[in-house]
Amino acid sequence: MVCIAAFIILAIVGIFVAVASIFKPKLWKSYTKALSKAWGCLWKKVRLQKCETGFKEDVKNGLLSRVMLKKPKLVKPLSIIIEVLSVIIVVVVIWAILTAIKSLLAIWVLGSCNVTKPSACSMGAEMCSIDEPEPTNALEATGRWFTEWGEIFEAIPDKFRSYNAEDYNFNYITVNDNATGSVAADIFDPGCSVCMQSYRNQKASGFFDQYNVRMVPLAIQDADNNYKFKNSEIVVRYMFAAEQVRSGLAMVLLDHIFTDRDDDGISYQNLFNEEYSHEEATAKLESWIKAEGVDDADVAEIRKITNSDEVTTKMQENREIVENQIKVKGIPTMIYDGQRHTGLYKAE
Amino acid sequence: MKDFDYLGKGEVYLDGACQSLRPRAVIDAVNNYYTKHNSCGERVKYKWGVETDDKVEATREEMLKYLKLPKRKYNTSFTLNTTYGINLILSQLKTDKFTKIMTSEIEHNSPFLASIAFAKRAGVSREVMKRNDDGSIPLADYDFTDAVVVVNSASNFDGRKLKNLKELNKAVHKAGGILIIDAAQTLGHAAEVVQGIEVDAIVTSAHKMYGPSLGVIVWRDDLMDKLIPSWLGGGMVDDVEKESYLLSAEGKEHRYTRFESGLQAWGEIVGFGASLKWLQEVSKKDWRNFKNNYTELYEFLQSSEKVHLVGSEPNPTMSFYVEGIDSHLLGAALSRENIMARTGYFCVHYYLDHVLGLPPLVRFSLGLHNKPEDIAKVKKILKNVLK
Repeated sequence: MVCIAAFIILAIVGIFVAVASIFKPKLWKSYTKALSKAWGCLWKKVRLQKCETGFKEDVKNGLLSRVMLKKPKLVKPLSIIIEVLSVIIVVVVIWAILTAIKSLLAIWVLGSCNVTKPSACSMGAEMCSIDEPEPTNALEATGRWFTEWGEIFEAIPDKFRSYNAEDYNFNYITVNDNATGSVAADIFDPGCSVCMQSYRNQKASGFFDQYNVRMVPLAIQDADNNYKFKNSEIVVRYMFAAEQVRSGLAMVLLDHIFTDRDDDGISYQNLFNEEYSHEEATAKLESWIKAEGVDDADVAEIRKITNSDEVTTKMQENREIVENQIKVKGIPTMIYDGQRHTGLYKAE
Repeated sequence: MKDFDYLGKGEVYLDGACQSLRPRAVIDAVNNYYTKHNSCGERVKYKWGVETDDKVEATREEMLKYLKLPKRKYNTSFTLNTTYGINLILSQLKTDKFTKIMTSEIEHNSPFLASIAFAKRAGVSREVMKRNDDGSIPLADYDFTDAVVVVNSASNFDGRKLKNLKELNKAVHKAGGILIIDAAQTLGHAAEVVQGIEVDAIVTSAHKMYGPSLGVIVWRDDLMDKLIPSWLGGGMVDDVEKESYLLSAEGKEHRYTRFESGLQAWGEIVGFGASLKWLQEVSKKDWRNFKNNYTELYEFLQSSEKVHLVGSEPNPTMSFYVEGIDSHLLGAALSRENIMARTGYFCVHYYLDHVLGLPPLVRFSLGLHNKPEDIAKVKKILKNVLK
């Protein structure tokens, strides 16, 4: 909302003058003349020089000179109101310009115009955001506004560097053991609908055959460690555990969630996110495992591993890499061909 | 006055210190030049040119007569305006003749800035003299030895006059200096301040003397020896060889050409001749009315506790600010009522802003065109504003 508001304020001034100029061509000339005068005065003031009469005075005098003749006593309060308004306008315009610049930079660098809460930016890439805690008061919000600049500038060099999926010590699941192409990493959350669509697109376009894809499961968590999607943690734990017992099982589970529907035609991802309790989710995952011919003893083993420290550590390690090393603001995030791509994979 | 019959009903012009309104006689003289004898002066032999030459020559002489200065010693040259005239002189003054340049604190930027430029160019010191409330210079406080002194004979913000000009002239010359007078605010309404005083140069603007837009330099012959020729061109020479020239100004008859490079504003010079005649024909009654008008307005402003006047005595030019009211805003409000008055610092930034620390001011500068009804109107509107 913040960045959109900034754009709106800047656009209104320009659009108003441009449209009005069509009907009144002289307006553009007087607008540019006023703008030039305003800039001249501002430039003088910036250099601590005097500006005897500027744009603001002209406007103020134009408004108040009539009042002075009719109701001189009103001049002072009106003058104060105009002064206050002009300060507010200046502050808002400067804020709008800076926020617009910040938002554009953030979109370019981070893929979202909102650094702290990427999900609040409708102008960024399609992705499931990894949000940071929202400021709770004005002081925090102001501080956050400045630290976001730091985050953006810090991330600019990353925009120009090359990425190699093998540089990161992900805990991953290999999609296709026989794939001979270069290594690609795909960070996803099983509850993320964009990750689901991305997976479908990758599958349809032969991405999984072209690259040696390493699927990196990540159950998105907020600052309070709450999971963004209800059953993502369970799914990720089962994926790591199942893969440990038998190679290929994790991808079977993921494939069900991302591509299958139940008898009522509802996608399993939707059911895991919205309908299933933790117990129902566990039961469904185990039913898929059993359907692959895994006996009860192995299922029990898998169940045991899901709650192991080893799996917990794997999940924490992935979170650490994603949030603090790669510093992505949302997923799916893919690393291939020397570059990092955040957002929906679009099949060519 | 009927000479300003073109003024619309209710229009009050109070900016004569910047530019006087032109009486009919002046407008007619300029129109007459353009429609009856439009020609290049001082270089053509045809009938129209001869008529122009006669009128231009008559204007030069009329100016000297107006200033009560002897033709055998003085010359009248024309230029663009006062600022231009002062710079023409200072930029050509020989630097080895002088040890310092002096001006005063109440000057218009015209001499003030030009004196800064001269000090830098000549590598001499610069002194800014105090002016007493009555406009005089405390002569005993200053040493004028080999000094170039450039001061006004009346200020452009409160009209105070250089009352001891005669004594100043004597002191400067006795000390081997030269005196250049900025008479822009003097010659329209108080020519007596400079009349008959043989200073080195008097620089003024015809457009502040009911004339067309034109600068005038009245200067003494011996100033020529103190100048280096650096502004040269058409109309200034009798002969030119490959690497040398003979200035027309060498001969007394064409001495005025020393400051007149290129073609002059002949129509404006002719019009100025008409304004000089007109000024000298203004009746005593009209002068009395003029004085009554500015005195009445001054006293009205002085009577208000909210009004802060800069000057200490009634003059045609008066500047003030009203407590709690922005002067530019007041100027805009007056303009809505067809009262034309200047606001700001009137090119006297140093004194008004930096010495006195005043906010921007409103300036009323009256002229012979103003009627008692004008004053009544201004008073009526200001009374309402000052309530």
